[in-house]
Amino acid sequence: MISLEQYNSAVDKYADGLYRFALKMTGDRDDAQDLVQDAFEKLWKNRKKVDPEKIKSYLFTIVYHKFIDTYRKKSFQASLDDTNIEPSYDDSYSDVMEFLQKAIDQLPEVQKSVILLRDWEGYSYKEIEQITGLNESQVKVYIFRARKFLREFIKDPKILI
Amino acid sequence: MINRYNYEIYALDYLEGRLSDQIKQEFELFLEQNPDIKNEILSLVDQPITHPTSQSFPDKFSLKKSSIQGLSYAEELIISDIEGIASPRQKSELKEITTSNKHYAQEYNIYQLTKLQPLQAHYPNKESLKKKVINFPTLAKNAIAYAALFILLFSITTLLKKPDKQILTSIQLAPKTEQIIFTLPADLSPLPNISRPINIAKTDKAKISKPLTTRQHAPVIAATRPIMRLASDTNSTYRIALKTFRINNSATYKINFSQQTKKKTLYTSLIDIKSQTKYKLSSWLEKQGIRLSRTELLIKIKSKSYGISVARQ
Repeated sequence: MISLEQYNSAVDKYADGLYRFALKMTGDRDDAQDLVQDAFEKLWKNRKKVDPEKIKSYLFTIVYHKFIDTYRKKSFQASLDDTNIEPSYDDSYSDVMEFLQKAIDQLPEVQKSVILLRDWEGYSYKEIEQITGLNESQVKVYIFRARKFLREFIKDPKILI
Repeated sequence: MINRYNYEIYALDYLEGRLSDQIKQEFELFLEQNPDIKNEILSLVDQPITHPTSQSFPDKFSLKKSSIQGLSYAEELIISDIEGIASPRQKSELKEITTSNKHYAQEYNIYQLTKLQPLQAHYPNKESLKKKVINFPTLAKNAIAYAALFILLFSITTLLKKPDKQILTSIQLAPKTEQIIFTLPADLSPLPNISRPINIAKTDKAKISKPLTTRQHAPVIAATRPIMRLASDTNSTYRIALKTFRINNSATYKINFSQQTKKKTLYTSLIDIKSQTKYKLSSWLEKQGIRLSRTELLIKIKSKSYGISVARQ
């Protein structure tokens, strides 16, 4: 059971992180806002059922699945099969962080989700498993492959200087 | 016969103690007769045994297999460490691999950069996501529930109540006009203290065709002041202060609760009717021997907002 105070506190704590996650996933501010609003509305509707200790993961779970269900249809070409994806390079990036942000966008959706949850939100593999519905081994594989993918982007070590 | 041309054949076996006693004695005699060869053989005895080379296979980690397809064993070690899930054995191997091979050390540094930093984006208008302390939907639900309860009680009361001396002869609730029509008894006596002319600022002229005075038309209506105009509805949209409401003869009157249209005034009217009209009207009706329960008024007020107009039928 979530109280009104807990709910509003959750807005303060998690709305930004949730929005960043949604924004990175969708690439669209309006879509990201919709996802966040939907998540909080659902949280409010189900406040009697949700464990206050799990508000954050509940919100991310909603956003993740909503994205997968809705927005993936918009970009169905992004296959979950990541084995044949070749990174594209752009030597014009001078800042490695900016470079990596662009690289993230080229990750397959699931890989992108799990590595964002991992790095941005600091979720454990177990927590990511609960949010995404993947098993823990899958989570590990996706994260490892995502790092490999990102590393491939950093082709030229000079870019790191 | 051991001589200087074949002694090497026996030398190694001699050193390893594999010669027979006879040949051994013969070989030792040969060494005594050839001191230079003896020195050569003895020097071999002092030479340490050659051990297996300490050189290791270069980059043996490249031979190992990763548990994750598409990654090398070294990469798995590096990422495991970055992820904080490396076992002690993996940590040891990683240390070995990065200290012995500059390539892997550089790879480790590059992989460190794959740890992502969050964007600096903030949700716009975060306050809009919050819920207010007052839960309006709940109040609305409660109000509806109470209204429904009152209507139910009123309906039961109306059905069960027998007309008292046939005073209240009919009550009708029209769905749209929400009228309550009842017939006043013929034997109601005039009330005292009606001295001033009726001052109905505006009323339904179709029903009251000429100015009324208390004395002239006391049997009909006495109202000292219309206190509020409720809406622009031309049909009975005036409320009359019921404390001045007077009836002194037999007639049928219609008390019309007209719905108001403007929300703000609606609310004010609602409060006003609740706080004043309900009491005044009911107390007046009681004096007249008309039992009109407060519940009934309350129902009307709660379910909608009404102005009150009084007109003779």
